Amino acid sequence: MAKILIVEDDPLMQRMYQKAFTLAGYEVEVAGDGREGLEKATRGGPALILLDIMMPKMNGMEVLKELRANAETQSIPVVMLTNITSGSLEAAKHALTKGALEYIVKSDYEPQEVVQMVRKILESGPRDKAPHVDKE
Amino acid sequence: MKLSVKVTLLILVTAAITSLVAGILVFNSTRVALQQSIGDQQRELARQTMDKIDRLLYERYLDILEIAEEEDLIRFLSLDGTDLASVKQKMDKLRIVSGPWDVLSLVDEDGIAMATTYDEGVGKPIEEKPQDRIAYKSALETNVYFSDLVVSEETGKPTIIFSASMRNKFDVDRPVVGVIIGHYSWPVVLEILEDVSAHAVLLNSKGVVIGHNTSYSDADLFFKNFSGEDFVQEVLIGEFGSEILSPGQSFIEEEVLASYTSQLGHLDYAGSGWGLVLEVPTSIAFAPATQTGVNLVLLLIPIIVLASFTALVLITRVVIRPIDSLTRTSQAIAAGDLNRRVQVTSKDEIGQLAMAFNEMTTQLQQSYESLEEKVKELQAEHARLKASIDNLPLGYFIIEASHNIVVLNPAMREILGSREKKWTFQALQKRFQPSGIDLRQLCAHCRGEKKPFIVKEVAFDDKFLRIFSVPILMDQDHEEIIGTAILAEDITEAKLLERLKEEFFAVASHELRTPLTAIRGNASLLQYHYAEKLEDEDMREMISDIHDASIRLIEIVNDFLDVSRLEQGRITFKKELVDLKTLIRDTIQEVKGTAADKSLYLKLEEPEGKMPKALADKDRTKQVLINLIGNAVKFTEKGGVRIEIRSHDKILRVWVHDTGIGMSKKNQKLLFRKFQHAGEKILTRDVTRGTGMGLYICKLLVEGMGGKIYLERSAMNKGSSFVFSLPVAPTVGAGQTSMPDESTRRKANQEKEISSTG
Repeated sequence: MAKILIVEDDPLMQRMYQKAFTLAGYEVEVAGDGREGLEKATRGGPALILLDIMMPKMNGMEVLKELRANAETQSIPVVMLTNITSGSLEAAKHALTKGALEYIVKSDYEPQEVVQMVRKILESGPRDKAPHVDKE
Repeated sequence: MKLSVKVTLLILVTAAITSLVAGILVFNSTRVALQQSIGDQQRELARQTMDKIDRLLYERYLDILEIAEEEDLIRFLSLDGTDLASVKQKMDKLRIVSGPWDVLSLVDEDGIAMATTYDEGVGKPIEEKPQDRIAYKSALETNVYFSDLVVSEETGKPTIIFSASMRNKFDVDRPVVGVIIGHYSWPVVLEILEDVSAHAVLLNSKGVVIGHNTSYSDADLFFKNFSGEDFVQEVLIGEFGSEILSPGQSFIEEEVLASYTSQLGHLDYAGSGWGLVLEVPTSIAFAPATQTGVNLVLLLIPIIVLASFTALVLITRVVIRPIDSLTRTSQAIAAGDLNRRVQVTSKDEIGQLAMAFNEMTTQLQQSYESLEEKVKELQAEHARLKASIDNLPLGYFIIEASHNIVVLNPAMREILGSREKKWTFQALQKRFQPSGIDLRQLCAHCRGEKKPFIVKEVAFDDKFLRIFSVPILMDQDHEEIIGTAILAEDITEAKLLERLKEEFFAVASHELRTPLTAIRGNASLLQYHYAEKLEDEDMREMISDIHDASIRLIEIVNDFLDVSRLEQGRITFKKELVDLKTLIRDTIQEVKGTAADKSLYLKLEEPEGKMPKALADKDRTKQVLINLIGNAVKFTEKGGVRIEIRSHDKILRVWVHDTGIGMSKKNQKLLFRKFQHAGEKILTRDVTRGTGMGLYICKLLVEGMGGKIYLERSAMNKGSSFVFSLPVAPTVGAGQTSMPDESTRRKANQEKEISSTG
């Protein structure tokens, strides 16, 4: 199964998404900050990256920039995660112009919905139009 | 000087002058009249007197001719018997009876005096007496002769010598036999002059006085030569007149009225070119005039005095007393007694003045009273304002146009910090300078713009202030700015609060949401992946409740965040082309499950015609739709929800009709309020109905996008109809792309990516 890289600083969120994807059968790698995320993205070769925006030291936008700049990582689809903390929603929307495929407001979605979305992205192949996840 | 005195003096002076002038005029005119009449009379008298003299001398002329006819004398001269003694006797008689003659002489043709009235002359030849000789020769030539006045050599007396030739009338030839010579006695003529009341002077043709009387003068003028005098010349050249002569000119050495005439002769007596001057001293002649003048003046004096006195009294009563009264009343009024009035005692100008004055005073009184009222009002106003200003929680001070600080309230002092008693403009200017506020510029700007000017935020010491500067305009003409009012609001706390809020929301979003998401997510995972482990119904229910609770909490957090951001205006609405139909359909999709669970219909009525796109924020519009449609489904138990779209006049409207429980009029009033349930009792609140901020958020959103939202109708158990409107997107020209929305942008991105890798 494909490998998903989750870049998220909050352990609660980390564990939640990790479980969601693991239980769905994916291989999951976790990074607690931007640096680690970039490393693991380069090294690990994930099929998709879930990227939290609000992170200390290096935030999601910066990571995204790096990912897109790096030849090894620029083709990996990226989904931004946000909690609508001031500015992060705008950043998330802006990220779509910077190469991110989607953004998700964490609190609005059940974890399995996120998994569903990821599955659809991976199934529809790279660089395809991101399917909009239906809200329940 | 008092008015009465002035007036009296004026009257006296005028009267005095008038009477003097009158006196003089009267005197003059009388004098002139007198001169005229007396002159006339005098001239007449002169003429008459001269005439008398002429007649007298004419008679002598005749006399001598008569004597020349005396028979006795002729016979004597013809040597015809008559003896000398009887001739002498005759001649003596004739001398008295005729003439009178001083001397009569009978001279024969040989020039020998044959008989005379004085013995010594007999027998003497005529050559011995030159005067008589001229008379003798002239008589022989012209038959009769008279001389000018001469002094007789024989007698030494002034006389006029008459002579006439004597002819023998008895002889046929009437030969000349001799001449009769008579010396006329001059005093007779002088007597005529004596009869004249004026001073008379008889002048001969050479201007020598030949006679005068003694009226007015005893001076002996006889034989004095006055030919040098001008007027004498006039007399002698035949003028007839009268004039005033100065003392130097007149004969009596006084000023005189003189009349003069020249000798005109009488019949055959041609006269000797004499002149007669009559003089009367003017002092006597014009005495009546002077008298009249003086009498007039004397008569006028008492009249004047009486008139002045009367005038004085009159003026005092009619003018001065009223003026005085007016003055005193004015003074009383000026001193403060506005009730005083002047007595009006007449209808004339003074009376009018009094009435006008009273009117004026009444007006003054009224004005004063109304002013007093106004002042009281102003004082009350002032007290109110002062109380208000002093107790304002805002700092307040006023700068006058002249840069005087007129008001500075306690709150301002607090802000300024120092307890200085008197803040001057310069001090304030300096105090504000570190904060970057130029007071002078602020005032100038306000004055120039005539509008308030706000400095939103300025750091002042350890505080933050918001400064309002307002120009103070006089009401009447909005041109005059009398000063600038400055309000300083200490917004430090507010700013802190704002910061705290920002921080709070920053924190809250993240800090609340993360655990909530974790709760929701994990509960959801349990339900999804460990369903078989949750065989126990209670356990399943518990997990479900945990899950639902977390969602509710998340929604609450979302609502609060939305509201605060909307209220703070920190949400920007995108302007996108929104296809409402599509959006509504999407929403229906999301909500239809819940509707189906309750067996409700949920449909969109197909709109008539083509619906234009709205100009709005797509996500936010979706949010509104979700809220309204969600609410509609939530509050309906049977029936369903129907949605309509209509377009009219560049406005798109969406109706959400439900057949639900509706709401009472009371609750309708609370709609769209921040905390809708606020009106209900705290314990009976239906908390399942969410935070109560849903509609409030919708209102903020819709209005933020330029639309309106309201409840069209609702009735208990009959359902409700909500409607919101959005502006129609302005039609752009064909071919032009309008502002890209989210999806088109994503599409564009993806297309770009496809082509680059493709």
